[in-house]
Amino acid sequence: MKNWTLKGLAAGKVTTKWPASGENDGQDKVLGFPTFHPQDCRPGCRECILKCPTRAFSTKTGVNDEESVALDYGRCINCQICVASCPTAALQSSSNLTFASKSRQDLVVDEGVNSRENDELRSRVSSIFKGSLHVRHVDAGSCNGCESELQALCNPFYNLHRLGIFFTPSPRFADVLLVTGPVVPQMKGPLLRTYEAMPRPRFVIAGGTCPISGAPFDMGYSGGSGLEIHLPVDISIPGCPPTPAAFIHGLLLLTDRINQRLHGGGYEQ
Amino acid sequence: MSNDLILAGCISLVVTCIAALAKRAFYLTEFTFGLGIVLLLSGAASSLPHGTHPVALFYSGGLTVSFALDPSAGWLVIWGLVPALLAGLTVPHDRISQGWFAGAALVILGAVGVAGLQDGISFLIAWEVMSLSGAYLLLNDRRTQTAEAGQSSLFMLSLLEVGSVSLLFGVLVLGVRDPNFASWHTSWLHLSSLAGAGLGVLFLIGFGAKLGLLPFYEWFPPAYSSGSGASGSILSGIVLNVTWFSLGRALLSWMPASSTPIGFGVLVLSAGVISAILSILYGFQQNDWRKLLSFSTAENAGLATAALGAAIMFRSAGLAELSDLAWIVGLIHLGGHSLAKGSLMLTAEHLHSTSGTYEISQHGALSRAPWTLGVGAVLGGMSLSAMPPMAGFVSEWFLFQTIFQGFRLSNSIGRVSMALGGAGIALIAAISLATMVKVLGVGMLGKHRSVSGNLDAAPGNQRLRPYATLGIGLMTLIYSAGMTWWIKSLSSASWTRSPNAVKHMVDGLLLIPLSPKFAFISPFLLLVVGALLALVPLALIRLRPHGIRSYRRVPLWAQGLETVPVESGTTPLVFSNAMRRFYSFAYRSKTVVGSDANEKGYFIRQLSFEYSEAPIFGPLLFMPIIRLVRWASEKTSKMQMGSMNLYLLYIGLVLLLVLVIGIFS
Amino acid sequence: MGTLVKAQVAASQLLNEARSLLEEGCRFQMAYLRYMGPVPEIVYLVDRGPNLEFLELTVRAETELPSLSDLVPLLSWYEREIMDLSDIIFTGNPEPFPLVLLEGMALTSLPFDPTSKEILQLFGDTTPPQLPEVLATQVQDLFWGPVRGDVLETGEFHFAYIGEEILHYTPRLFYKHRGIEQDLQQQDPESGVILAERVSGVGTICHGLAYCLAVEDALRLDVPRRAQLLRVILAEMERIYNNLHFFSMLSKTTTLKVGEAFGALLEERAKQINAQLTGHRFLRNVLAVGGLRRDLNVDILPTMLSNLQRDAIDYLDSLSATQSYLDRLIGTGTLSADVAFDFGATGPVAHGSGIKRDLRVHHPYSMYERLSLEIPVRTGGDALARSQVRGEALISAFDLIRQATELLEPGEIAAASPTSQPELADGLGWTEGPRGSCFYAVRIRNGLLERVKIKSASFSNWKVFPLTVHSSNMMDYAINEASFGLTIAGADR
Repeated sequence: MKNWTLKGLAAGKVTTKWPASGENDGQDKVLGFPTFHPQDCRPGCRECILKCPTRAFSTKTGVNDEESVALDYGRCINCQICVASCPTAALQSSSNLTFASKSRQDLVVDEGVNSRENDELRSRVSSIFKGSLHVRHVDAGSCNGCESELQALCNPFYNLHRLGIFFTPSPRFADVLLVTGPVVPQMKGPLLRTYEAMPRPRFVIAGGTCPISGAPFDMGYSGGSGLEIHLPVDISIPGCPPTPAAFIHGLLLLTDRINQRLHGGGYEQ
Repeated sequence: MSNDLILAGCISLVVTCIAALAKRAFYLTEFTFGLGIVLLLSGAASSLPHGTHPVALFYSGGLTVSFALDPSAGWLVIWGLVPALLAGLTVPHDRISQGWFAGAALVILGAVGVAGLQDGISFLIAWEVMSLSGAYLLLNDRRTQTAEAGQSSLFMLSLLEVGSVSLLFGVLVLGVRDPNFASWHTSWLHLSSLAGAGLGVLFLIGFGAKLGLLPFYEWFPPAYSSGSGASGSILSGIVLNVTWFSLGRALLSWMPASSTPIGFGVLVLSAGVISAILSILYGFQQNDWRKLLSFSTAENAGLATAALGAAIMFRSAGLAELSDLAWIVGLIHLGGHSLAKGSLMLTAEHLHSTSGTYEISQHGALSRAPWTLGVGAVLGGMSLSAMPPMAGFVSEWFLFQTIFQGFRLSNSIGRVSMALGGAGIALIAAISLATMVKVLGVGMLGKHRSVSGNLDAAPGNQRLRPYATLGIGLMTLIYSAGMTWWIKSLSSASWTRSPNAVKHMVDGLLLIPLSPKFAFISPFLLLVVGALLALVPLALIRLRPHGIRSYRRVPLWAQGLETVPVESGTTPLVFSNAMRRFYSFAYRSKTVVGSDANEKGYFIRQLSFEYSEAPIFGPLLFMPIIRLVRWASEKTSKMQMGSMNLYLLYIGLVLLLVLVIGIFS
Repeated sequence: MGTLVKAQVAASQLLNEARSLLEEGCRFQMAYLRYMGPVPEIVYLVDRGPNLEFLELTVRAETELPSLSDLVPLLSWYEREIMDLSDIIFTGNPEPFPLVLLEGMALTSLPFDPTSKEILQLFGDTTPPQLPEVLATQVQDLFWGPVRGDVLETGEFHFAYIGEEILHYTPRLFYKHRGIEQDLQQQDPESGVILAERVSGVGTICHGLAYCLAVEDALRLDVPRRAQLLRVILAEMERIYNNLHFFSMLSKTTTLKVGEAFGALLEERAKQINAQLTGHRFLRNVLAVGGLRRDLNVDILPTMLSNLQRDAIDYLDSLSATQSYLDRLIGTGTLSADVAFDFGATGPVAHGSGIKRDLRVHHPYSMYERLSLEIPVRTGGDALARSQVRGEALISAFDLIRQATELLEPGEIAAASPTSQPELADGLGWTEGPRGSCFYAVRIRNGLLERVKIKSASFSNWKVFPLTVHSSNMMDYAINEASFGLTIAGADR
């Protein structure tokens, strides 16, 4: 007969101190979102636009008729294909992963646009939940990658409970709806009904690239184009899937316990 | 004074019978019935705490038929009559025939006679009146007769007759010289110890048949379910109470302590505990309000009988005060049980009149009933499941405390059986809690779904019923909260007539089992403190800016489905199946699942299943007897060929036999 | 060696052909709809035996075809899926109601029909599912989901329940149907791998590799040796973290809290090793048609993996020394070999029921034939048997990585681009993932994907799972489900 209690005690503490202190967020060597510096682009080059499987890049014609390329991290599944195809150093691999943002605009690298608008009131309300946040998760057609990482949040390494964040079985006592998946047609009804059953104030997190924009499943008869057309989104956490650290960052960002690092597509180290 | 009131009440009930049989206006019958019970109630109430003086009613063949109400009997009659009164006032006129009132009046007359008549012969007559008019009551509990109802009444009567026969023997043995009860204690003393114990067993069987001790509880469900809740509240109120009183009188007053072996007490205790366990186990599995409640009645009778067993054991061990305690506990228990059962019987009746069924199923009974009914039912259910601070809690707590004092016995068999009895009662309490959760949770909750047509509008006197339910439910609360005062009226109820036991059961506002150092409860204080504590959340709600309206409200969540499927409600079987499997050795339960699939058993299109629990005594005891009687009648049928000469021959043979016996004896 | 032999059969001969194939010991794998120009045809994929080419049996689809479900029960779901997505009817299908498109949903036109010109859309709202008719009172329709407690995938489960006893169980999946097979149509075969890797998040390699193998088969690409061996390492890394997750979930359902935490921590360590090796915790973004996108540095693996292996063995030993854990697995969710075969159970589920079948051994790919591998088999068919074969598969994964690393030599990691492209090419790829067999059948026309059929392991195992739940206990349900180790994303696609 095995004494699991003793075995557990003997194993000691394995939980990371991140984000309170230390850098061990468990994401060592994970390839993050590519950094993009449009000013380094070769004029007329469309390599990334052609190669990107999720159409995250787009062109924009400025006032002086000059063409510029914009990158939408809300469509990026960090597959690194663009980095390999970029002939210059405009696109580079990085280890930046915690891209959670309060505004969809902040996910777009676009020269000249830098929005820091923030709904102050909602922010004040959401920070009430600093001490304790209850999350209802809905899988609206995800590939199970996000679920795997959300389940990992409760493993001893991340131990989400230490941050006062809990998953609840019912939306009726949840503060946040965390949606994964592109919201496929058959999941629209169950998702909206679950949101309706949440008492106010309620918040919505788009967990992963799918619920932000639908990419890469925003096509075909049973794809989805993300959460935004159905529900007001408070936090977007891009990633395919977001790493556990990125999820934690997004959840803490909702209650203003951590700073947003991505502004107008620029990442603060 | 008391005797006059009782007499007036009896006369009023006789008038009820006549009015009912004359089939005059319903209201006249109902009025005389109600008046009679009210008079009886006040008579019994004014008789406490000393009982009534004996009055001679009439002379007959050298025998003075006299009547006196013992304080114990008075107490039990009071609490048994309250549900009978409310049942009579709210019985649905459109369902019953007027004969019901005649039956009810006769049952109550018989019961009063059983409680108060002081000689063996008139007692037996009253007993038979009570039994037979009980059957009459059930037969008149409908407008049209059904074969099934007749059969269940016959089953009840035949089992009761088994009891009557053994009572007859008992009465014959004791009353052969003097039918007056006063002399029976002395007559019993003259019997040998074996004959004395045998006589005790005869009384146990005789009264046990009516109390529903094993195996007799099996007449309960078919009989109760052939009648309405109103009949049920009479049968499990006054009838049960006087029967238990009679059993107690036989075993504690007539039976001398000196000729009571402790083993006899063990027999009574185990008969009580085992019948209570079996009946509540079967009760838990019932899907019909009346059947479930009838098993619960047998369970409570078993508990009271267990208290009686303890009283006998303590008495034969010379612990008179403990014996008195146990007797008074039984009194308190049955009093509270009558009230609580009455509230649930009335609830069952109301559900039937609004939804057309006695079935326990989720069809939104609570959501369409007035709040009064809901509160009354919950109070009654709480009491039957012994939840504080209700009546059942007080009596079952006292019962435990009494049984715990088994260590005061010197006899090791007595100690062990007390300890086992305590364990059994704990099991009973647990299952009865589950049973009440089932009957109230499954039977009253759920979505509004009419089972058969729209019967929501309750006619005439039935609008009164929810109030009656609330009233009787509240009485179970008042009964327990005021027990420190009410109990004083029992001070001379014990057979030793010593007020010490009752005096030692109260300490200020506390109830204690003879000694304050052993344990204590105080339903009154609990009620007061509970009410005060409830003010805190109420105040918190009130202090919010918009009161209760300001709470966050959201629609029901069906796990993402549009609506909660109708079939997803908990069914009674779902609630009780786990127990059914765990105790399958007792239930000998069967579940047969069938499905319509392809030849390999894949792709199931249709599902069916059957389930059953086998009654213990039906197939093992009663069926063989029935088969024996059938066999005998088949064999003897050859003797009746319809030939007149043959019959004359029989008569001739019998005459010859009589002659031979006459000559040679 | 090719992967496919093809045969055509007339609709009238279909039943006879299927019967004789079964008698020869062949095994049906899947069925799907494909259009040859405007003409629809049904393709049955049949496994003829170890190391033999698979048989592709095609039948021209008329509006009505005989159903093979009674003969080959595993085909029932494929037939229902085809009925949902086309107007073909399989007469005699025992459950002729919606599967992939739920009740209440409707399509504007047919997804795979090239002649259809209308805009293709799925619309509506789901309505209650078709359940077996219950001819008894007292039965509760206990439902769970679609949105279930905790962090779980979407799925709606119905139990015909009478308190503790489950009379019948109906899982309703496909809420998450994303139509990926149709998304892949008209895509460039090289970029298709991005979607294939995302069919099932925890089956990235199993799906991605099967897709790559299928396309490579169609385009006749020779994958360099180093890439093949690295692919083996990736596949076995996937097996490691999935099986650790499996034991964590099994501990959770047997209420072994510390055991659950240990399993979850080991899984986390395995995922972190994945990230160290490939830059992605789920091993994504490495596979490419023809090889790998970039070379991998496997030097870091031996130390990390030997530590993980030591702890994993210790963990498994601790579990198998825990009486309460074993008690709840023994006899739970028993699956007989016959039922497992009839419904096409695969992977550990089949191994636990005594079916010794593993594509890595019987139809080796990606140099598995060069590695020594023992298929773990148990005959109990219960949750314990399934967990034991999982445990052995976990340990053998470490061993396979070691073997593959030893064979590894520096070299190319991507095949040379094909010189000429045929107008029409069919390919079949398969892998034995942590949950069982995964098949990809591709047809490439003029350099673009014309049809991709995906068969995930869980699609097969979900079909067989309910048969172990009928007439069982509710207390055992969660354990039984965990012992099957199912995912919904792969099955729903």
